[in-house]
Amino acid sequence: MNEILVILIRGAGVGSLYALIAMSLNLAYNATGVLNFAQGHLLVTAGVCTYLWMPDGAGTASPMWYLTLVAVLVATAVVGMIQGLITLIPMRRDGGSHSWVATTIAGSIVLGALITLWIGPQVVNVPNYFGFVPLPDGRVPGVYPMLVVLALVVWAGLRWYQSSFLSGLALNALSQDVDAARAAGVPALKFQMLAFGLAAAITAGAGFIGSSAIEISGSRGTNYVIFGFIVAVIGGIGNNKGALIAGPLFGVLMMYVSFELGGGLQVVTALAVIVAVLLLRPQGIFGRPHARRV
Amino acid sequence: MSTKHSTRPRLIRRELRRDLVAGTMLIAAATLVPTFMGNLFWQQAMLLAAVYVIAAVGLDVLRSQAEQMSFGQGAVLGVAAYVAALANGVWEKPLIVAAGLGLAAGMVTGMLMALPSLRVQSYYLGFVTLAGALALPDLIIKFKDQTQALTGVNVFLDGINEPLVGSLNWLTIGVTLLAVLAIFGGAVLRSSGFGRAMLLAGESPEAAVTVGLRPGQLRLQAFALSSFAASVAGVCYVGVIQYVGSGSFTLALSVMLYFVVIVGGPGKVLGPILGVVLLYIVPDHLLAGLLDYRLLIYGTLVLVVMLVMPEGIAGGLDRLLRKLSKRSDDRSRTLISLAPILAAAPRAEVSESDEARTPLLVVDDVRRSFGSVKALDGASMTVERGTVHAIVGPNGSGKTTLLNAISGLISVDSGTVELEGRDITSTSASARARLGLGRTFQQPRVLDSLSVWENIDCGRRSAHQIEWFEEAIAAYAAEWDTMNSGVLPHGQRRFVEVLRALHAGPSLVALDEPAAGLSHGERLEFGQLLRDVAKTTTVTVLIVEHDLDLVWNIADTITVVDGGRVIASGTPAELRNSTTIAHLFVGVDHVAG
Repeated sequence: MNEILVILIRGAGVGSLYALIAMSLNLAYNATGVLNFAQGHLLVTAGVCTYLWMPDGAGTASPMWYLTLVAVLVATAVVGMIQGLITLIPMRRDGGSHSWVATTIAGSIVLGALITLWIGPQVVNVPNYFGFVPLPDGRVPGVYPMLVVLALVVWAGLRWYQSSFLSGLALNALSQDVDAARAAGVPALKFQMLAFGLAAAITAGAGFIGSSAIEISGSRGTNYVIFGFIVAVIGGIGNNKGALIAGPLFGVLMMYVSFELGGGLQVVTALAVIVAVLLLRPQGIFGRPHARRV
Repeated sequence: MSTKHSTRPRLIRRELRRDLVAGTMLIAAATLVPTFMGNLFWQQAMLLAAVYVIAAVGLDVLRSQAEQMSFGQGAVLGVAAYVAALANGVWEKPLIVAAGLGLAAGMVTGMLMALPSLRVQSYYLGFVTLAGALALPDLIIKFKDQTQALTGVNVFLDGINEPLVGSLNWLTIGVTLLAVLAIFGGAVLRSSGFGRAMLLAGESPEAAVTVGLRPGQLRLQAFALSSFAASVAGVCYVGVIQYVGSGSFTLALSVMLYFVVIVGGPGKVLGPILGVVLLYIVPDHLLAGLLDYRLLIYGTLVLVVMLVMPEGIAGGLDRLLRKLSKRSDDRSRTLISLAPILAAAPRAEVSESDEARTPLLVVDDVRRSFGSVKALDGASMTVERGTVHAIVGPNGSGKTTLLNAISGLISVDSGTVELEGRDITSTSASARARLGLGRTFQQPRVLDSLSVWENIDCGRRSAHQIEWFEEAIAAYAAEWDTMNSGVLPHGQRRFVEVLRALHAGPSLVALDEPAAGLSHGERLEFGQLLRDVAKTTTVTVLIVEHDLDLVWNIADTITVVDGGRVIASGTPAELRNSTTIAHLFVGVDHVAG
């Protein structure tokens, strides 16, 4: 009974973190058509910044905690915008519309290399800032429910922003026809960089809040972007509500498999899930089938 | 019936030969120079580079021939290597058996990775194969008892690495030859009809099915070729390194092979070689002193090349050479003229046999909705043999949808489509094309990377060739084969597509707005070609067109579509006096009637 509760709470928490990555992927995708392979490394970047910048013993009651939060968000957003610019420039050329696959992966390698140069190959330990949730016998760290709350808040915030502000609306529709937007006088590149920055900030929020729930090291970024992508696919690429629901489901499944079969099979499980979803329902559970091509 | 061809198909296209010679010399020099200098370290490094070239050539087949994205090449190589090593080092099988087992295991892995490609493409496939490559080391560790992951596996080579002369051994000879063979294999594929079919299926699956190709099958074949190359590379890897461990085949290897293709120059003979030089030899060996910065240098190199030479180093060098040699593209500015082909058309008309009197195509009460939009709302029409049959109607009336339902590019909700009395409603588009249903598109599906002739000659061909047409275009095959499709103007691209459809030997060819974007002269030529084709053969022309002047002059029968239904059908003369559709023909007052 208690085990099931722990699996559910931890799974939903880590799954919500993947949902936050998925929402970041969706945000940049809807604005640029790019699925940023480096999103996982941005998460790790935020985790490392949190580890290095948070004063010892600072908790949610301390103003330093909030200052560090702002610093981590801003720093990661800047890194994301620079990476976005490097990705977007080759795409503006004729026939360059698919260059993002190579440039975002190369970006992730450069980020990973810089992180390793910065802190070495160590795994960083970020403390849990949110106390513990008592269970009938035992307790789980508060970071897990906190991640669920964060995912809900970000989802609602994005929804409000994208339905109430012209810039939000533009972000959501820009990738449909960038040329038309540019012709209509929309500063497409600025909006697209804004999307990359905002996506990086959301991921940074997830990294700041949730680093104690996952392993932060330069070599783990790829795992996290793959998990985030899988959640995005299950929810339907571009669909945040789908990601919000798919994340915890996926997280609980992963937690359950780890519990039953031991660790080390997370990626294998994820691979099985993504293959099954793509073979059975490629548009995702909440996505719509593609329009005709001819 | 076989047709006469003035051009013999060449095993390797002329423009690839220079690069093949250069590539062969590069590979041979790289492996043999250190061998004869007795430098064992560089000999092994260069052999490993050759192994990577073999795998990268295979990946380039996927990337450039079949337009598929895979990050799993390193995992396929890894499985083949690991199994070969286990078979030799642990199960104590002879080398040749171990190699065979390794190849088989690699092929199985590659085909498993290919399965999702039946449903999804592009970045979906990228992420799936990425996950596969990431999962491999985890699996090797999870099954550590079987894989000996803790110690790794040592391999014994039974003397193939014994020196023959100096430090030359069979291993060096074998790996060098296989690498050279790989780049030749890539060039042969690129020059073959099979390679062109793969390319069309990759770039435009909907166009591929209209010339009778099966894109899913071609994708799997591309994965099979690519996996074979990776498996051969894996077996060679075991020979060169003589050890495998759980850390030998990480995601980094798969990502490197992907970048080797992209950075080296996709679709270029020298691409994989240049890519391996830049991304393996430079960071791993030439800059070995900067070990800590290896990944940073490597990632930055990729970013810089993508910014400076988006088509890769080989592609960028090619363009530079062309600029330097100032060879003007006079030839590529030559236009395709239909006139000589028309001149070859026989004057005599085909006499009507009994067969010709049964209708060729019958569409009965076809319905299709997209969401709440009824694109086809009970459309029925009959197309007679050897006629030019036009479908006209306002924008959004369902003309293209009707054509798609006939070609099988969309399924219908209800109703039937019959070809020569045979119900083809549930027949796939590709099978319909093989039954003789040809098709062109509003946006011509012409591949810029192929010559004009390669674009025409890239589908399956039926037994019912239009003989005079084949003879006429065969005379131009050699000339068109030197013409670059990328510089053709829009109208000319349409001609290419129509010629491709006719070259397949169709019984009916469906053209979607073929006259859009054509000049006045081109329209006249084009209309004449369609008339000649219908008059001199039993080929039927079905045409959706906005240019009513053209339609009026060439069509035997006109079907008028509006709101997803057929509202009138008849000869131009009959329709001329019809009041129900008069509003459609406003402005068409100088027709021949």
